Amino acid sequence: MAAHKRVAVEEFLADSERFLWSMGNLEDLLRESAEGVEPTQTLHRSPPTELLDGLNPGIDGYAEIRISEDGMEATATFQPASEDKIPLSLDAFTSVLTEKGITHGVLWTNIQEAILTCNSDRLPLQGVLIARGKAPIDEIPKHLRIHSELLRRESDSLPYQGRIDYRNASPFVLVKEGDVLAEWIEGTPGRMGHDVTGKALSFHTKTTPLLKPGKNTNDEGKRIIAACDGRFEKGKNTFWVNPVLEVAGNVDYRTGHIDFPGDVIIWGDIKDGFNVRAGGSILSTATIDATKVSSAADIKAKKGIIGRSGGTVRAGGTIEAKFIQNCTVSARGSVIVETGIMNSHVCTLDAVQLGGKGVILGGKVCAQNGITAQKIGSPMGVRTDIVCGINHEVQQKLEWIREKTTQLAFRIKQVEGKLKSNSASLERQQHLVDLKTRLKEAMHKLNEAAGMLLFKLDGDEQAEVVVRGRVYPGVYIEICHLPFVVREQMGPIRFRLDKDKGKIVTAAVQEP
Amino acid sequence: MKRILIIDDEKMLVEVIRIVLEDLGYQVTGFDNPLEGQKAAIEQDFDLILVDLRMPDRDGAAVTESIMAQKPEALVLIITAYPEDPLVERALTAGARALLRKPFEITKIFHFLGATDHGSS
Repeated sequence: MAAHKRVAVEEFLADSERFLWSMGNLEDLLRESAEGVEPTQTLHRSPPTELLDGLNPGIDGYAEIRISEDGMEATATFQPASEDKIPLSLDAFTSVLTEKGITHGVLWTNIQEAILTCNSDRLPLQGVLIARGKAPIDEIPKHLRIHSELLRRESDSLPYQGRIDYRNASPFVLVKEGDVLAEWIEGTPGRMGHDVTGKALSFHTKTTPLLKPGKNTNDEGKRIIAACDGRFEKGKNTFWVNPVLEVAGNVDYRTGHIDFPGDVIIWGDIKDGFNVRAGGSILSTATIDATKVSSAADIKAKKGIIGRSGGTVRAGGTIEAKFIQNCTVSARGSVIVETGIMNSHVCTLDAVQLGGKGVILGGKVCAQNGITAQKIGSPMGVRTDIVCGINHEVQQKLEWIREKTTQLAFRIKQVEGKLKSNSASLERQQHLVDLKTRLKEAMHKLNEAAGMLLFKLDGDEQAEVVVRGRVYPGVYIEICHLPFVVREQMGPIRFRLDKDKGKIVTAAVQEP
Repeated sequence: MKRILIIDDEKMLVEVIRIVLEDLGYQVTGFDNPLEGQKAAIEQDFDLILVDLRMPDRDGAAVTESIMAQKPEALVLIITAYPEDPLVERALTAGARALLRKPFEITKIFHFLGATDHGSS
């Protein structure tokens, strides 16, 4: 009974729906009869609810379109048709597009897919992008772009976490002459854009600050290169190469080791354990606690040089310091020290000059062109060696050769001993004979090299050791290989080579 | 060929120096007994005599004094590790010309024998 009644109701509803639609397009009818009909975005409007109330007559498929405020996008809602109603068609959708004035950037694929989905699955779809405008592209003028490698090195130098020896981390980006600093990037013209209704949108010219090459740079047309070795630096709108590296404070864990191609100015100390290498000069306004400091030119330590754990200081030019203590120092130019050289090994291809009260105490000082000091040694008899007149660099090479030839000779002697013992087999003996031959050949080559170097050994037969004050027992002086052992306190005194007599002679020096 | 005499109680050192100097073209005679070395120095002619300073039986200063007393033209170099050793002064006063730091300073040997013609007489 209930089932029969339900069938009857459904038939009635269907008949009612057919009846209403047989009257024509009710919507049009209503639009005609009403004043101030609001603009619609629908393809087909559902029947008035008061007519359909309780009847549910169904609706055709329809779509609503919305344009974004900037006009650059249009989205649509797709509503499926009710059972037996007219599904949404592409033509009908196109009519709505036209109605909305959408003419540019229509995404037909999106639209077709949405209509198909909506009709086949009978599911409403919302916010489907159906048109997109084209944004204008700003004009970019020709500009410079910093070489990526430099930027990478700059970022690498920033502190970061992890296991690292910070002595090897440097905050400086160093470049060599000819290194590429930046590249010219060609400008690109601007392009007009439009919104979905076809309205033209004009472009702008990019106004971000453009980089300009600064000092010590060369413009090669397509790129900017470093005009000299130095530190790469950049400001807001420019970049340059600084041939002088200034370290505002100490050389320590904040700076790491320094290896700079130009001059280095250090306004603090060079802390123990840190190395400094400069392609130019080094100026330290404080103390050099030297581990390893080398300069292709001069080194000036306004306070002094203290060597720790075998520290070395080497200069291609002169070395100036207030004092030198416990350090190995070598210079191709003069070594000028104000107050004293204590327990150090100092070598120079020029002269060592100490100030008015300068003392050499302990260690060894080799100066090809002579030494001037106030005092050498002490009343305590501290052993102090002074060597003049020879090229210490050649001397060191010859001593190295001597050490090696001595080792080889020792091996030769051992091999000879085994051969004499006669205990080895014939094969073994032959091997030993071959070995001895090879050892002798090696030694001979070294001796030949030594012979070549000898011509450069003797530097200055006029070299003198001048002591303005006193020189004490314990001091050993050698000029051009000839010795003088100080056995008693002497001075003021001058030591020089008397070539005719073949010995070192002394002469009084007028006291200052 | 220039002749070199070495007097040093360290036999191995004498042998090592001999091997090196012979390769350089010198004729080398070595003694580890100072008295025998001193005798050879006086009886034979050598272009250079190397004398160790600290030796048992007879020190290098005494050996030098003996040699120079007999052959004042002899060219004697003292081998020592300690230039401040009082015997150095004695040896130099006796007529030794220079000091060789142990084990030996090849540069001084070249210097005193003539750098350009080492080995040739």
